[in-house]
Amino acid sequence: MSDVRQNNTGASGALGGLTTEQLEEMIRIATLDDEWDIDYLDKLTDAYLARPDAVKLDADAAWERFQQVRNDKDRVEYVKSIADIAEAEIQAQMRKNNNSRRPTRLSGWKHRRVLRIPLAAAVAVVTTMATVVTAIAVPPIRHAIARWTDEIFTFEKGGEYIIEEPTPYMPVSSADKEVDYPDMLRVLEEYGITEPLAPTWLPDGFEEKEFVIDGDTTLSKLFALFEKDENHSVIVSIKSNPNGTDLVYEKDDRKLTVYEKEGVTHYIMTNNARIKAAWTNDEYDCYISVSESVGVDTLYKIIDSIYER
Amino acid sequence: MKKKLSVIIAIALVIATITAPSALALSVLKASDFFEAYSANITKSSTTMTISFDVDATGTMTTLGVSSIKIYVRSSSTAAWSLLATLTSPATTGLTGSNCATYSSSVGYTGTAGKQYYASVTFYAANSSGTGSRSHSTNTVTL
Repeated sequence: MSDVRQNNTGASGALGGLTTEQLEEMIRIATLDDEWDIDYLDKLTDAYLARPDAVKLDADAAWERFQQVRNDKDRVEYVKSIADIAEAEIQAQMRKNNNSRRPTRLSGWKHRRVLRIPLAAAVAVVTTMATVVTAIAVPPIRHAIARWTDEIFTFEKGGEYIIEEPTPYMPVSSADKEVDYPDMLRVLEEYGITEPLAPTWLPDGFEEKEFVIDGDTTLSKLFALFEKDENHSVIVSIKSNPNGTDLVYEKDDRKLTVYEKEGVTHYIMTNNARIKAAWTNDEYDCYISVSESVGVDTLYKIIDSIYER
Repeated sequence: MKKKLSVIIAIALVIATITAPSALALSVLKASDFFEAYSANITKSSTTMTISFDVDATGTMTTLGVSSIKIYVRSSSTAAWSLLATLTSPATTGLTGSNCATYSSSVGYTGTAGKQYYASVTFYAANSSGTGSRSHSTNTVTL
């Protein structure tokens, strides 16, 4: 039992002094207990629902939404099965309670089972947050599937999905080839990689800070960090991913855009103070990330340089 | 009562998706000042599984890599997943690197033939402004 709960149990007036965020946290903590105290949760719920900024929800719709979480991985099927069991158990318990006084605490193994199952469901849904996809798009040429939420971005190989087109972006200018970065090109050539993957241009003043090559006979990873100063940096990453392992890109909730170049769709996203372009080219997952201070137009020029041979 | 409990459960589910379950050491998926990208997967060879991971940071980190790898096994009788082992430093070497912006490594673990496994990998980054972590689950593998 949490200290917060002990300090507020039975003092509904005290809940009025809490912020909505604090109430959310108290509900979350209360549902992490091994046993749910229904009276205590009643008070928290009443106080929470009275707040104008509380999450507006319909219980049935929320439950349905939770059950609609889908992913092809076994763990999510497991979560779904928990949700189904939880709903059945709750309904059975409610039918039973219709003919008896409302218990404030159920007893015995039944209690633990009934209340632990939805608890497990609530916890499990956190682990599947990344699979609650807000948008999906299929690049017209390449057949990797881009999926993203407000928080992450991934490419998946294979399957059929509904297409939701992101906002197209038109660059303001084309790239001028000012500075060569032959190291990356030379590495790709040494591994026999002919696909255009590495940029040939970066803005003036950037110096190589880190350069990592992984791979024996085949290249598995090429990573380069260039810095001008602590507020201006460019990262170039090229990773071989023939098996389609999920590579998770961090992003924030700002709108994602796309930039088409030479038949390749580059997905442009922001991650706090950085701007990132992610794309897939055959078996390679690639991205370029720049500091926000470097600017999105410079990012487009760097992308353009990849295809200027 | 059904409605009330349903509302509580619904709120708990919604809140579970929007707040940080720090007590469970699960990371909230928000934009990160520390991470650019990360991946983890699990492969097998006979009765040995190999958990490989790769993480890129937004810049040079004093420490970058993985703080823990939790290996789960699936019960053949109940189909439920349970925690089998937790690998952390320093008992498990090679989980983190120093003063780098990218780090990748792999860890081997011996399992039981016929059992199904997956791993939950917690990525970790630290620099002068603080620390960050992200959890990511691998694919499953049957040995």
